[in-house]
Amino acid sequence: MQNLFAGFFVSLLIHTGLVLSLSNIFNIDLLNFQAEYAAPIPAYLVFEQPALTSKKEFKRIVINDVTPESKLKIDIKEMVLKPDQEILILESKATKPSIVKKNKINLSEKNRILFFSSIIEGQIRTVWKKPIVPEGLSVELVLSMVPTGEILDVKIKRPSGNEAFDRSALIAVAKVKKFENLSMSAKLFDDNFRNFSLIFRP
Amino acid sequence: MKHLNKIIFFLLFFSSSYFYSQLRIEITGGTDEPIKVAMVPFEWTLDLAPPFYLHEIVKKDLESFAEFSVLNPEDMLSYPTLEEEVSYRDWRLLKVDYLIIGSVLKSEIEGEVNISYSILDVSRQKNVHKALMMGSLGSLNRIGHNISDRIYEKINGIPGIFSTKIAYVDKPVANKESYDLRITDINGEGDLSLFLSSQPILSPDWSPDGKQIAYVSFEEGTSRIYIQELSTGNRRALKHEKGINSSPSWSPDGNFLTGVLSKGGNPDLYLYDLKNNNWKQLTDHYGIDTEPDWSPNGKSLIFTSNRSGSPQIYEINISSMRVKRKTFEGTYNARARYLPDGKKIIYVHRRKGVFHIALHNLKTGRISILTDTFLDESPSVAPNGNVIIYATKDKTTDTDVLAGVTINGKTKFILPSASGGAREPAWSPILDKY
Repeated sequence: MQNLFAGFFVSLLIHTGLVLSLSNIFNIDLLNFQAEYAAPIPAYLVFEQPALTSKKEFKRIVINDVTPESKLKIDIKEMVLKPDQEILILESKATKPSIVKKNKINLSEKNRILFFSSIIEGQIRTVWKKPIVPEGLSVELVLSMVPTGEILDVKIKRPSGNEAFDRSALIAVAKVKKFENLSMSAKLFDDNFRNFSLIFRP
Repeated sequence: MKHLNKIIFFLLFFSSSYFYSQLRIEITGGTDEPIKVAMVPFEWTLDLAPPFYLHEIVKKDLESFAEFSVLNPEDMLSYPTLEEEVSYRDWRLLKVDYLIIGSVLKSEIEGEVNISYSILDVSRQKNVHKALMMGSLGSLNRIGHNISDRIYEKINGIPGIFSTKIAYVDKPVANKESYDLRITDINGEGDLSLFLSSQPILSPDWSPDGKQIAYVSFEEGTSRIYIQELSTGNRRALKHEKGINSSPSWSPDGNFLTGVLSKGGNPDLYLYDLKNNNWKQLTDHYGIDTEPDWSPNGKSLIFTSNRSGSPQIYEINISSMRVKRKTFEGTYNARARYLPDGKKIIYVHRRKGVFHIALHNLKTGRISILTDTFLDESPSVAPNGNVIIYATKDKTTDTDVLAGVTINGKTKFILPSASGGAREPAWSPILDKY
């Protein structure tokens, strides 16, 4: 009887492990990745003058450490990114505008998604006038977009229950109409940005 | 078996989040710009000139708490009255979010008017709300505030308060022997007296239906709680008990009042049954228990007690009678009032020797000071939970005034009192519920 039980236990262990690994649960990178881009991106992006970087055809992005007060601000005028272009990321402290660390890295797919997500977030943020509504509301919209950045369709996926709040989100999307500066590879677009969700919280 | 359930649940949970891989971008902040509204002067088809311009009333209402900016008619490019006449592009150029158009038409009934209007969403070119109202020409002012309420609710998601009233006790500086219980519209119009006495009047509180006011009067030489009907002016007194009779507060269902009696030797909370006219004791402590307020769901009360040595806010559950202390910061916290969601309270909080109105989130324990005036007392919350009115001292004139602050602390205002002695404000519930 005891042997039977032990056998069952061992088999359960093996099978659980098998199913868990099949469902990719041990891929910690992936889990992190999802958690990261679901959260708002606390980055302050400033683009340096092209003259400073003209030696190589790199665009430079300076990511400042963000103090809680400072808001995400993207200077979209300076930003012309070609698909799969190499990007130099320079980190610096908010108090020290000078360059602290020079790491030449290729943006991974994850970082690219983060980057373009923050562009989308920034463009929505500047036009969203949130009404005075009770705390704890959130509305999820699903957007369909074409590679030019134009929004084809927007639907409420999960309403907040407050009509005025839902409408404020729809109005923000309607005001943007077309996201600017989203030049990315066709694959990146198809995999992530053809249909995506926007979650609005007060 | 228990563990197996857990494992399966765990598995399902994570696999679902893995297979669900659509990109989600979260937007947590918007712009601080006020919502821009344009209200086109309503078409007027009556023979006589309008006594009020509705668009002027609505503009004044909507701009009172700095949540909206309302376009002046002079800055408009056209004056449409029908949806078909609207050129959305023009309004988009003026950066208008919502456009309100409408007309006031003659009614078949003498002295009546028909008002129709629409709220249009400019960026999506959609009609958000369409309404037809009938009313007398004499009440055009009230209709205007009513339209403001509807616009506010449609756009902001919480009820408008432009038709509500505030009750207060007026004690003129010039006449020390006069106490006047008055009610006024929140814009200062329609101020009228309910009850005049040579003895103190305290703690007015509105019944939940807005038809009666309970208050304490010393007209018999000792404190007693009265209820006065607004439409008739009729008053009735609650059963008097020996000692103090004070701080009436209506239950949300309107069937009970809580009050403070000292017949047991020291002030305790009692419950008054308005059907059977009797008092039932709620708290029994040798400390002072006073200033009760009902939670919006009617299940508990908050009150001030000095049982710990200093005045602090406590909450009592009506069914279990369990008492819980709610405030721990500072040595003076009193006169608490629930916000309509029941999750936050406001009270008078002393910090560095100065009395302020504080907002306290019961869930998180977070306290924020809302006012920068001094000697702030008796706060009362607007029925939409967005504005607080309180009594304070105007430093420049050294008079008692009523002041207001929005719950985010951003907009502050003062209701000037003619007599210089306004006290004990009580905000009415929503009155003209349409």
